Amino acid sequence: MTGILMFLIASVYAQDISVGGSVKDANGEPVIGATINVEGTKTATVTNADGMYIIKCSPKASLIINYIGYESQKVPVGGKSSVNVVLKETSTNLTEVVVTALGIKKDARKVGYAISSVNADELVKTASPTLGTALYGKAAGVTIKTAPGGAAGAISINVRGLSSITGTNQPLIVLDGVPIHNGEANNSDYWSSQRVNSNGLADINPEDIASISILKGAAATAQYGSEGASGVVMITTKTGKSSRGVGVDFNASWTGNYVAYMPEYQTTYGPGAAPQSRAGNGADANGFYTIKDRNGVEHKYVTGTSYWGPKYDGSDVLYYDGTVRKYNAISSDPYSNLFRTGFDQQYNVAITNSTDKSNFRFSYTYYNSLPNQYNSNFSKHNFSLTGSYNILNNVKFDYSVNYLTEHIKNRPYRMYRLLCNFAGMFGAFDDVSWIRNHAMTSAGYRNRVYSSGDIDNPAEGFEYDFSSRSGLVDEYLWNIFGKEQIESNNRLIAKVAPSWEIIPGLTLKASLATDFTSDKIENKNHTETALAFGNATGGYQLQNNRYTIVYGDVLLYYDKNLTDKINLSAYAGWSGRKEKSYNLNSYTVDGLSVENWFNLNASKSTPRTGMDEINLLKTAWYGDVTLSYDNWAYLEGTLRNEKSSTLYMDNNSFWYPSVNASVVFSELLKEKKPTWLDYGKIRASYGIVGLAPEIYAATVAYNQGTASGYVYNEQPMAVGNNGIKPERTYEWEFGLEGKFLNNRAGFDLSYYSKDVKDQILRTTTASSTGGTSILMNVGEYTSKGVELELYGTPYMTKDWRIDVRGNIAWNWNKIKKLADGVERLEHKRWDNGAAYLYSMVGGSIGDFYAYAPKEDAQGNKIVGSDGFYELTSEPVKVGNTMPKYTGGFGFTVTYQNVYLDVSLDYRCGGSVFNMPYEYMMGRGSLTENMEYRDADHGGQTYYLGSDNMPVAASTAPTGKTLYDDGIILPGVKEDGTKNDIMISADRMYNWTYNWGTEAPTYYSHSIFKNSYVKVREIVLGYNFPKSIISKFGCQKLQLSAYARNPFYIYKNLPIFDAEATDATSWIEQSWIGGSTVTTRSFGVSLRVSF
Amino acid sequence: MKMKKINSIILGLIAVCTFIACSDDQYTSRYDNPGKTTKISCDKMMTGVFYNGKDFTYNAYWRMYTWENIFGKYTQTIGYFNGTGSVYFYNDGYANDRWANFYKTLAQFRTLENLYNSESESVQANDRIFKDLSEIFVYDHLSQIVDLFGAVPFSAAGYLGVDGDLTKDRPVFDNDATLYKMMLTRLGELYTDIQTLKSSLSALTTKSLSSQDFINKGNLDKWLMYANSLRLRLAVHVAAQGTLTSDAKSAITECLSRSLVTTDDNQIEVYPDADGFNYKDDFRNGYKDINNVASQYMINAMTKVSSQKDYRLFVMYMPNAEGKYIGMDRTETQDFQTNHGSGFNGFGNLAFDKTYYSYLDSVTYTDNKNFISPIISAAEVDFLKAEIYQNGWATGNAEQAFVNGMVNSTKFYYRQNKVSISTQGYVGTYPGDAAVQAYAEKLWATYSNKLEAIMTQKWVHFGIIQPTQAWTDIRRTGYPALTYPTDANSQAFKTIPSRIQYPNTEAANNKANYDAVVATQGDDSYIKLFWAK
Repeated sequence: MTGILMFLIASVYAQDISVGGSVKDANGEPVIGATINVEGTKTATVTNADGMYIIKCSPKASLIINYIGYESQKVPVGGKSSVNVVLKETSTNLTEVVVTALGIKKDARKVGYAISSVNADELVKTASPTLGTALYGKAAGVTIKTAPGGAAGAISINVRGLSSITGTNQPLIVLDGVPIHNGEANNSDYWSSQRVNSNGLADINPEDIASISILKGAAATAQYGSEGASGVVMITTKTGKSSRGVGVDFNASWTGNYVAYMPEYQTTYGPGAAPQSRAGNGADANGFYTIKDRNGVEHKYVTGTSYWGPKYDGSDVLYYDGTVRKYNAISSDPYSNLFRTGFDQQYNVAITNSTDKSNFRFSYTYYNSLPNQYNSNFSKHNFSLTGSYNILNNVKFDYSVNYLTEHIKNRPYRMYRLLCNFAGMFGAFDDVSWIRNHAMTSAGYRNRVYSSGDIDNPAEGFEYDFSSRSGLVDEYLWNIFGKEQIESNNRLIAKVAPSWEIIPGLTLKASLATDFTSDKIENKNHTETALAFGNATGGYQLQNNRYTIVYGDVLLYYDKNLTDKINLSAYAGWSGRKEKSYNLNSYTVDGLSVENWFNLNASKSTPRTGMDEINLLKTAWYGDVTLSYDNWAYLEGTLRNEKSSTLYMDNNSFWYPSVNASVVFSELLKEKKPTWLDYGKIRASYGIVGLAPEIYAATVAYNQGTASGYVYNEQPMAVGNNGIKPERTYEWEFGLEGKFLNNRAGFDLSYYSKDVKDQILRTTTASSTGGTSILMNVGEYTSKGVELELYGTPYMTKDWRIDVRGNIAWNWNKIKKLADGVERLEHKRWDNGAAYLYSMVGGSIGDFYAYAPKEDAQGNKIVGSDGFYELTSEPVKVGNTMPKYTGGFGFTVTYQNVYLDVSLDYRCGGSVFNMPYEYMMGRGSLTENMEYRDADHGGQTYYLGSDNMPVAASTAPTGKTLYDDGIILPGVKEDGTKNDIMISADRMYNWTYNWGTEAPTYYSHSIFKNSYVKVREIVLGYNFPKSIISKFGCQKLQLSAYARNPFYIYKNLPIFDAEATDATSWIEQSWIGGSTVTTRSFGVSLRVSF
Repeated sequence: MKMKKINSIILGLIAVCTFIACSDDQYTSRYDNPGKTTKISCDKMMTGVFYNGKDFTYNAYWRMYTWENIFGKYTQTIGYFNGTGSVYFYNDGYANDRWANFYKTLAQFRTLENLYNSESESVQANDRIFKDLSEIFVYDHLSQIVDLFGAVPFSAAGYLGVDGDLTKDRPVFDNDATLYKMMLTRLGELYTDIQTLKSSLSALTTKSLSSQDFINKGNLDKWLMYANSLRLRLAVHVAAQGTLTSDAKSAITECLSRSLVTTDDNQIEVYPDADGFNYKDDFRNGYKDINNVASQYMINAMTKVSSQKDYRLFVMYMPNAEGKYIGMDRTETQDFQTNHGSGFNGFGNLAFDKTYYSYLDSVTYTDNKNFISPIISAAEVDFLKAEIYQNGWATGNAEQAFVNGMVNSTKFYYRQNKVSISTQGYVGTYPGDAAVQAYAEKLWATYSNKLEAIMTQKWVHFGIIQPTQAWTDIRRTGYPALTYPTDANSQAFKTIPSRIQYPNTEAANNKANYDAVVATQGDDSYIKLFWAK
């Protein structure tokens, strides 16, 4: 450290005239590593990472600027101290600057590992409220999942499959060189978190982003150490650098979000009991029940969440709204009545200015969303100021401030109780609009059946108790209309970064940054029933969360041409990060003593409070040496030492190295290079990264609590372990990239193989050990993959241009070892063991196990004497959560000023448990239930014999009814002969799709391979011709119409969007049914630049 | 000017450099979770032992709804629907909940033991009481687990939190007879140890005991009764059959000479309250919608005397809409039950207010927010004595003990009815000891088989509150002799099981030891445990 300070204190001597300036390309992007030669001398330097240089020379000298791929340029100094140069590309060049670890910009050809870059245009073309949607399918091996719920939802990113079996797999997010707070979200069940939450990445405003680099392998992320073990997403924000003078950009977008991909309900059969169960159930032979209304008049009615009742026949039935209605289906799509059409609007204005000395960009974005969920609102203001100021020729200050303030009323409520609980399910005979409008009484209480003892105005009450009331009215709709969550969130991300070029080639940089979040969340739960009835209801809760990250780093960077052909660049640095979080949560107990007084003082019993605190410190030393030879060979080595407070003192410091090399063979070939080849590179890298446990996961400590004044200590069942050392990933990567045919086509191919050793696993233990799990360094796991990106311009004329792009990524993983004596990890157990999610030694992560129909040696399903499948005696493997391959493709067709851009992404394999399907198919309410339901849908005929069991027949004996929903399950009987036992379709559905472990219910038929091909975005745009707009002083005017999530080309998962999950962990992404409604969006956007 | 700016850079960098000066302490101080403690004490750990076992000590919702309901069916203390396919089914997940709760409790005890062992002798002299009381509580629950599963891990179980060594900490299964023998010995030793400690504890420890013990509020006399009555229960369990009959008989003799629970107002029990042990609506939720129907067999046992109904009947069950006491029984057809069930019972065709079946009294049970959860009741001890005298394991008057049991049981149910704040239903008044004694004598006389009298009325007493105890009694004595029709449609359980299978998670995660116990004891639901008839 002292050394670095010495450099600082040293003053700059002015021996000769010092000339400095920038070297940029035609787009205004800095050219890094351009050689500046003083003509006729050996004095030379290279431009730094910002494209700046300083050189000492005679005032009369000329500078010769050279950079591969650009035309050489000679500029006389003419006594000036500042000489800025704009280089012109040679015709075959496609230079690319990539942002590598620590924000160091590099020429892409120097990099020996895979980096995927996504630039600004691609992020904002459909006005996505968050980054997530924009990243789908853009980078090979990077899978995105955005939660339903729009801007208030979380974003999950997985880079190269999973890097941890039980820990976090979210990449590190680095904003302009500063690691920011991201985190996981929505990984707890409905009972602990009933709303769809967002994570830190969702706060980043796509409008302010210039580019995103995704660092994938260990060599690429080695300089981020443990934080980067799951990849790094480097976000570079826009600056004023490339503007000339004052520039103003304005854009606006308006998007409608329509409920989509929700279950469709059959409209043929109404609610009630199946024919076989009607006798002894109070229903008449046709399935109708009788009931007296509040005036004592008897009516026919139907009831139940099961739709095995009578066919809709238009007869009069008493409805729960108190009217007599015609018995006809009300809607096949009740969800569009439960939700509204959402509407998002977004406005952004950005002002940029650039002078010799400084540049800045100020941007303001206003976003407002009318969510699909009623009684909700979301608005967000985003201010961003970035800039840089050259104090001296060799001293520069960069700064950036991002301030976000958002107000959220009622984040989306999860629909778990509607989709995964019989008490909340509804069907085509439920008038959801009416229910929605009558969930709350006019006096603001929760509505009830008119005859219940605690309804303030019985005239408004439900005529009778309908089956979805408790889940739909008492829970879901009351949660939306009767409970309000008001969030006021503030986030400030600010950075100052001075840099000083001490002598040409030697630069000292530092930065100091903070990411500060302050959230206030109020929950106002309205009084549910008049206090006069004697029961205090409602409640108030106030949460204050504060999260602070302070980050600092210093970096000494050296760059020198050792000879004509050999260049050395090296850096050494240090970074440190402190995180602190406080959450304070206070709430009323036993209801509000005054109706709807939302204050802790309204608590009927003593209010309670709780707190959470987190303190983290991570620091690291690191160094890097890069050698390049003759512009075709590159070699880089890095070393990092990290120290983390999440490890016990004996193990909290650890080292890891990386090395990578690349050969640009198209340069090496020089004159021998074939004409069709423009650029070719082969690369190899090897890196080791360590991963420290999540905060407090290893800590050994006891709980203390109090119950009725009795203070107790408690040994937690999730046992910590002070012996935890960092886990390590050893990763090889090889890559090949090329550009052909005058850069009309190109590809990038990577192969990687990583071994994770000493993996930190929360190992499931038998509870008899005294714990249910213990953190251990036990796992060994290998993961291999191939990633291919292709792009090209197959067709190009003066007016027409077609660009195509595509990528695909395969990933295979295998668990080599868990703890001794542990053969499997249990990640999830559904419905008392009806289905499990395991990871087993020798298999890959995330095997589904469930009971399934038993099969004979030929693979025929075995049918028991009752006509149903016999089930396996224990759960068997029925799938795996990991997709075989994923990717995306897209194309842009441009005709003059019009363009059409289409992006798709796809996934093959990777099972998901469709929980609502398991329950809803058993209810008979879905269109999917129509198969076999009657003769028109393949049902066979039978009558019910004396034992109430189906007897296959084409006519029924006298006095018997002929039913036409018979089915003979394909399979063989226990004696091996073909099954001929007829059962009714309703019983087949109702008994095999249900809850729990009791045969003949089984879950294997609700676990689906979640393969799909989805059209993610379609954009049709028009760029107004310069000739017209320049008259208004306008440089760019673009109008576009777009669709997000418009349709699937292929989808294997029934009744839901393939991405209907909101969690960020792979474990919770393995099932569907817990989130809010999914949508498709259409919008228009306008972009203007002056 | 220039220097000034350079200075500001330097200042900024110095600010950064302060980071670099992070001493080791800066990391280690952040290692510990500020929301947890590293300092524990024996008294607070004792409360931790009790607290972790609370869901199977109180009549908590989860216990009643998912677990004890099964035994209510096995012992027919509840009236239930004669469906087919799953009459005798019990769920592995719920079995695991019971299992895991015990080991969570045991883990607390192991931590307490470990802390105690690390203390100096002088500190131990006062802290031993916390370990002793916890041990009694652990044996109470261990014996319940042993009665359900047979051999279970104990001697090597529960140490993961203590030493964190998984390879060492996967416990072997201890033979259930060995565990029974150990408990009989240890409960006797604990009794004498507590007697000694009673007079030697510091004032501070005595004070701390009363503020930490939510079971007996620091009353060591009650703990003596708890330990000794529990020992008597266990001795009786193994006195008739199995390898421990002689150990049991000598334990019985000793227990009878020591302090036992004798009166209802001084029995071992716990109460809910609004803050912490908040079971207010839990019991209600466990029974209000399902299994709230009366059992015809229970009604039979309470209407055995032709001239007079059992006083307990009025506070246990509500009569049906016609004022009659009718329960469900195992001979009824499914259709009959459906046609006679009502919305109130949670099933059936009758209207909500039309009840054919009697149901659990709402004041005593389903609306009782102050529900008393018995641990060892006076009536149970009386019935244990009656059984002992009747079998000649000790000398005494069986009839007198039976009558006392009836008095204490009746008192208990009337007290349960009285503590309820609900008035929607029957609010009874205890008829007085003399009336109950007179009834009990008549009842005794109606039985030709006196053991049947004792066991049947004890079974009524356990009722839906302690059905696992009732199931142990039925398995070891055969009384009351109930009908268990075969469930032909069930794949796994065609008849009533004799024990509970080990949970899947134990079998998977403690495989070597599980395989060993399968080789010795087996893991079938129909294995008879060593004390069973």
